[in-house]
Amino acid sequence: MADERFTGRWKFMQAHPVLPFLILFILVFFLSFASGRYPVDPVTLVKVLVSRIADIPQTWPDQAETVIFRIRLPRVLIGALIGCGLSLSGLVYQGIFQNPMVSPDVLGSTSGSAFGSAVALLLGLGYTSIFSISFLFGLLSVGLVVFISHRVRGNQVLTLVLTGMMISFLFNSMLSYVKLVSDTDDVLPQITYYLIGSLNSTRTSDLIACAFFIIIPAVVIYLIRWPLNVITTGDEEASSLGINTKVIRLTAILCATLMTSASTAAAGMIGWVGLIVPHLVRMLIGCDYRFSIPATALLGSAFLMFTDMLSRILTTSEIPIGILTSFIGSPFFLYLIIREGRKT
Amino acid sequence: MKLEIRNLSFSYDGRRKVLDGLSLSADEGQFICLLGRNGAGKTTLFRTLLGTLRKKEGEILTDGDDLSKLSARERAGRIAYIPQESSQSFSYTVLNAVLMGTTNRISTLASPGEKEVNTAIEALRRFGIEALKDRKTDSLSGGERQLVLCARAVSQNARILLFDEPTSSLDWANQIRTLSLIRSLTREGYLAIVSTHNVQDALNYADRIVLLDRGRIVSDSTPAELAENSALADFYSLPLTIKRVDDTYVCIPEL
Repeated sequence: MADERFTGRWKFMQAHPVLPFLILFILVFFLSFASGRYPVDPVTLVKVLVSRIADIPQTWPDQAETVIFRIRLPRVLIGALIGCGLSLSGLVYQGIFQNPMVSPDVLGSTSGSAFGSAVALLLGLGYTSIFSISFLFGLLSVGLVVFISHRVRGNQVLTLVLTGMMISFLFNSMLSYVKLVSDTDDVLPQITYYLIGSLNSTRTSDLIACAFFIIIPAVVIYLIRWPLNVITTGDEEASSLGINTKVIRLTAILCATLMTSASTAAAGMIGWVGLIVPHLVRMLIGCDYRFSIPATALLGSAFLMFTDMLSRILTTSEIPIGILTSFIGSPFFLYLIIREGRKT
Repeated sequence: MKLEIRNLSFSYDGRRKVLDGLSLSADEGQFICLLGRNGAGKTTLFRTLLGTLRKKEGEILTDGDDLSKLSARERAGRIAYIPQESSQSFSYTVLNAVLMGTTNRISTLASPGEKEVNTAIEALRRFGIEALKDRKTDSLSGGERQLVLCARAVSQNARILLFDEPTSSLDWANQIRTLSLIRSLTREGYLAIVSTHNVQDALNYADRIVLLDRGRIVSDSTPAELAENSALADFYSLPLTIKRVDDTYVCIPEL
């Protein structure tokens, strides 16, 4: 009897593989509001959110509204968007490079964005300019990688990865130079803090930009879900199956770059999310992009909302989220190496 | 479907020709084995046929249409590729792997629907592996994987099948099964071009054996013709005798 119930549940899970990720996302979303310095319980949260679209009597203090709309909601949403963007980028890059160990910065977008923001901080530019310059440098670095690698004959995948590494080194060395010439009392700490990765200084304008540069590419990625499945078999096979590999790869790279650059421009370098979330999803529900795209988007969002919540509640002074994701990501990566070793 | 290759040349570096004025004509229902040493141009020929390499000179025609003018999707409807070993970095269920064969008939922005699933299941049934449909491809044996790749090629609806060393990683029994399977496909009208290093298999299964050396065809004969002349011994620079025992050719090197 228990077995039958288990089999029934298992069949249900197989038919609806994304559902558990959606439930987790909703739970973490409410938990993010219920924790922290000004906790808001789920019922109040729902009432306040509904009050914006329907006329219901106010049973909550004014302060709750301020906390939700001015402080917590933008931050939770931007955390969800960045988590979704970074995780999806990782998932996409891993597929098109046929390598499950690839992370979103493989083509240098993170290094480019980091350099861009450091230059903007050095020049003392305003917040919007920092985001824009960082975003543009992220795109520029990947543009350079694609441009150079298309002029090289031979294995396109290998050339892209190697060129990506070189461009990353180039931007990292330029970043080091910017740090070297920065004012050690003022600009250098700003750059250092920015590069650690944090949602603390994100603003509503970031939310709008991130929504635009993450949601649209995410939709495009979902639309090409089947060609992405086929391209993981390798160029030769995918092409023989009727896929225009160049077009699909360029579309995927463009979308992943937009998402990574927007995320890095808004919150600095948040590592590991793009590596571990797609891995976890594949371990749980398999590789099929038809399901792994929505599942990765939801789990990535939930993971970053949860990590951000920890960063707010663990200590009185907030821990930058980049430190926490690395703290969780490194042991997980070691676990993966051990697991892969056992398999072989 | 007829395949016509005329004066095909290709070079990776612009100097050394890997394919050098190669011409070949093949009709549906034929089982053609390509024999050649490593670097003879077999893989390059396949890549050119698949469109992953652009030919430098010559023409490739399928039913009179220039292959280079067809889109990847149209080409996939004519030529299917069965690789030696499919990538295992990402593992899919057998059903999904076979469904990939229907990609050329669905829109880029769509996923396979019920019609495609039925086509894939029909292909699985045909090769007797329907029971494997929910298994992951990385959990299959070499022989089972080969059957899945054949089912994928059949669900692709292409009539020309390119097999890249299909038996090289299989045990003896699965080698025989795979070759028999290819022969049964050619009897249904498929044109199979099989690259191999196994001379004896080529003699026993192929209708035609093409010897490729430095991008050129040095011999294009039936197994019976090869058994009687010295082309194979000259080709491999190896003294050998080909005997016929009952209906089977046995190739014995004289060492």
